[in-house]
Amino acid sequence: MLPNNLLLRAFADPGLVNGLGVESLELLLAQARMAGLTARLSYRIEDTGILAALPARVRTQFAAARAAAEGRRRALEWEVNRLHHVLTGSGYPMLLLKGAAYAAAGLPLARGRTSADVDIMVPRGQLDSAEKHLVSHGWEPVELDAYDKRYYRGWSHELPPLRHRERGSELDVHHTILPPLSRLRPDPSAFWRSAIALADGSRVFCPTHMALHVAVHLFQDGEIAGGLGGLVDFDELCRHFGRDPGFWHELVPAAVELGLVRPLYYALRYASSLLGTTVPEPVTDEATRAGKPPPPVRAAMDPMVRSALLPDLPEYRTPWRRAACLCLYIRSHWLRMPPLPLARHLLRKAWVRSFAATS
Amino acid sequence: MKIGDLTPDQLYQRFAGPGLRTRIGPFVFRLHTPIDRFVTDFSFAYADFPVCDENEISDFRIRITPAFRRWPWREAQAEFRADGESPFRTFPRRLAMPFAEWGLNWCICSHAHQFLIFHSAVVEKAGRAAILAGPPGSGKSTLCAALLARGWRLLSDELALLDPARGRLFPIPRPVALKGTSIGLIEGLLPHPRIGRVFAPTHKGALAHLRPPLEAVECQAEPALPGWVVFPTHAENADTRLVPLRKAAGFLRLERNCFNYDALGRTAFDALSQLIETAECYDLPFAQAAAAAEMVDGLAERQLVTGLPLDAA
Amino acid sequence: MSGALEEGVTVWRVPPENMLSWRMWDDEFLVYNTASGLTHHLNFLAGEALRSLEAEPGSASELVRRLAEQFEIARDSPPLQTIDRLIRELDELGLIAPSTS
Repeated sequence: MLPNNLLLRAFADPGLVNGLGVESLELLLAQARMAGLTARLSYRIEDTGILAALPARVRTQFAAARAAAEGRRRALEWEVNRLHHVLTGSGYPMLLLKGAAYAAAGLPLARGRTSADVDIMVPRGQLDSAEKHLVSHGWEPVELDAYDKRYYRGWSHELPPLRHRERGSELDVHHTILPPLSRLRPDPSAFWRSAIALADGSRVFCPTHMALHVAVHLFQDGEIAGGLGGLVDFDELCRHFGRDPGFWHELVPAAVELGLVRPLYYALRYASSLLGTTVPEPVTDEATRAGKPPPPVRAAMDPMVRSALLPDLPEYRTPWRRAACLCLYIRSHWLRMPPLPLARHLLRKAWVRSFAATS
Repeated sequence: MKIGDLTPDQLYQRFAGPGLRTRIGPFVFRLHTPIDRFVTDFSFAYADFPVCDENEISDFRIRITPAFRRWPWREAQAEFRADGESPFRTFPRRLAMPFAEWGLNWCICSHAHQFLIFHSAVVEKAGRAAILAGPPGSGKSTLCAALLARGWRLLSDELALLDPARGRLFPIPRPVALKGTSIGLIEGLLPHPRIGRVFAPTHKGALAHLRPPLEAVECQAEPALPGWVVFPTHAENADTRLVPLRKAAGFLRLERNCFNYDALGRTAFDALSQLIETAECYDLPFAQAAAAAEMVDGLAERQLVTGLPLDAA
Repeated sequence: MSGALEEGVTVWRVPPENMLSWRMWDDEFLVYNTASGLTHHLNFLAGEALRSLEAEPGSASELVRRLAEQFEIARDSPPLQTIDRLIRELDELGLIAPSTS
């Protein structure tokens, strides 16, 4: 049963946009803009053939959002080009992640995405020398204070972000997809073994791992709130790769092998309930059997996740939603770090935020 | 029907209830606020703008609302949201008008990518537009107002909207922001200046809004082709003169003033090239706005007299 | 004629996906690279060098030869001594790349 949120319903069934009145159209546009999904929504609507029937002013807003997204995609592809030039040419294997991967692989889901940063993965053993190599070719570490530097180097699964001196683009270099001290520790060598090589020599995850990575990013690594774009990514990957039955057959077994079946369970559950993703019943059953959390946890997660992901405008937001976001935030950090450093880390982040707000 | 045709009560009711829909340049804004003071300030500055009916879909949904006052000794606060997003933190409620103006700029720069958007004033005479481009503090608003006094039509005080397809500049004749000493200066220059409340202090000093001329608002649907690109720089002891610029330099300087050049890629390159190809580019150091305006006026006069297409040998 | 394919000498070309778009005013070039989305401002020599490689791939020495002929200057004249550095910069910017053959 889909929630009564116009943007989610429009993603699940874009045809309904045709019958909307002015008030509803405006609400839809506002929600899409707030969620950063205007361009992506416009492509969904276009795929159903009703775009031309919408008012001119709506089509102009869509065209403008697409133009901006196109610019980002072009910049992203160029960053990959330059990284390839610098890394692959010097013997550093490079695996593209997320937006960079979707764009390089020419997936339909790359249309309208607005991710600005580039994420890549290199083998752990080569991480330090890759970083030095990048720094000698125009990238420099972003300004971080000593505490954040230690967080990244000690606890995280990525280098502190790098920025290109001239182009100003940001680069995140990972060696695995989850922080080393998390409770879940997938073995990155599995990703490299199954990776697919593109025409230009860069590599991307195989379809199954791509989907799992989104699930992990949303439900293990990230803070969930504000992650509607990630859920749409998951939905689109399932739609695109799901045309091949092999994708569905391998999904749960791959998740089990990597110890990632809990986030997969959540991704499947919420993509189908919020976005209407069609998941074959055997897959849902398998994921539920292997990955469902204890009933109290699931009961708590359901309303919290729905509440955090719904693109509600502030005028519709309730205090309940603020509480939901805070719970999910604590949860995501608990999953990432052992308890003692967690308390310190959260306290510090809260202090910095509060200080910044009043200065 | 114009905003100025509504009574104060009608205005307050609209703003507080279904929202006021108005067309400003090529955009339709839908504004909501319960803050009476803001309604007064806004409806004075935008009195000549048309009210749209509820069937006209809007481009931006704006809410200016009282905000929680974190510390009791602080003055009453407000916040600005456009489609749920806020470009800045809360601000003093009495400064809602200037912050709303900055907010509207932010909306346009963030989303209106159907245009190439420049940080410049645009005025028009003799069928051609002059783009006055420069960073804050360059004196372009003051020069703009001085040109209005010489009969130029206001297309925009702050943002130039270039339609890439046909190379035309679209008007968005919003109130002209006057800062500090230029408030008094413009009062001296214009015959019947309609200047709103002075807001002080803001982080930009004293600020007031000059209501746009009626003609500018009535012609807000009429674009103009660019004729000149001028880079004014105000300095106390400057020697006021027009210095012709090489076209490549004009291109690069104007690109630096563009908000979305990178985003629009090839479209931006072609549109800006076309603009530079047909327009004359000048630096304009100046000390007195009136003298600078006279120089720019001279360009339009030359255009009228020669009757030749610009850029002819 | 794409220069002698000597052992170990890089032949430079403009990758076809760059689809360069040119404007020239006075003696300055502005060029847009479709692949990168970047716009570059080139002086006369740099612009002519890039146009030459766009028309026909060539090695650094081949490029020097062509430009010397085009502008009727000596191959070792000061402007042409900077060609190696120019090629490095154009490569860094992604405007040219080694020819794979």
